[in-house]
Amino acid sequence: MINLGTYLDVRENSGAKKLQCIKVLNKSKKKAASIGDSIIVSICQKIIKKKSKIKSKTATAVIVNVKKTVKKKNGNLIRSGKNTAILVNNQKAPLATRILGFVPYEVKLQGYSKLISIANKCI
Amino acid sequence: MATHAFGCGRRRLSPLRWFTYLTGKMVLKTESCRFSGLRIYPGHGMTLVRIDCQVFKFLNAKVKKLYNQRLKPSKLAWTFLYRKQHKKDKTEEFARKKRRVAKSASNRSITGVSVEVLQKKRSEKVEIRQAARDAALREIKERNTKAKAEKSSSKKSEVSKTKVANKGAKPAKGGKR
Repeated sequence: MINLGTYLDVRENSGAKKLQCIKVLNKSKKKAASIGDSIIVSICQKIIKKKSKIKSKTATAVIVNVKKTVKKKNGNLIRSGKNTAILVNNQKAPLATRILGFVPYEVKLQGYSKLISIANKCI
Repeated sequence: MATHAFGCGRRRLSPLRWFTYLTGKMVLKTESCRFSGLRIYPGHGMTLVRIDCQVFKFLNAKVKKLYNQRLKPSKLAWTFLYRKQHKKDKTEEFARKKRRVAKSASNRSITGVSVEVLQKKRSEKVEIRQAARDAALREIKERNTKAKAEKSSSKKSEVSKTKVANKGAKPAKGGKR
């Protein structure tokens, strides 16, 4: 359940630390985004020490984990402790070089094949 | 319209369900619990994926709770690991059969003996080889017996000399007891 204004954590090494959702893409106004949906975010915090690749204040991102339980197609339920996302560019490739934790299968269905090749596990 | 056992024809079946539909046998794909070691039947249990992508499968909430308390399964009496450590169950341990490697006859020369000679020896009949072996053994035996006889003859002469010397001096009897 990710709406306009929700804060998200980042689970990779692009340099962003905290995100805020500005807009949910490819959905009607009333529907909230969940796993596998793409959103536009503003970058609230950055890691200062690093020379981060991110120069603009806004970016597109894919949602990886949500707190709300989501039912999958195979009947499994999935939930996590944090709302997290991964930053991507227009070609659906990640800005980061390393991804922590697993990536759900729904992300793969959206066509983020490069993202999944970097990730350790796809469930 | 043809009616299927599992709903209408459009519905997709998993390969496991197809197997049950075709054979009429129920297939249960079970998994073992990471903490307790008990079997998890389909429709039960939960998985936990850590940030380092390690997967833990738990049977129920009780097991998950104990895991979160960081208890060791080897200290709880009802777990599989405890029973295995304390040898509570009778378990038959099947010894794995060792694979025997079939030794193929080598086709190369071995330290001075050429291939042709080796193959000749291999093709020889068993009786001929046995006869040759017996003859060789007999020869060795004869040689040994000869050597023994020589030794014994030389020894006897020595022994007879020493015996004569001993006979002359009678052994002294012990004094007071």
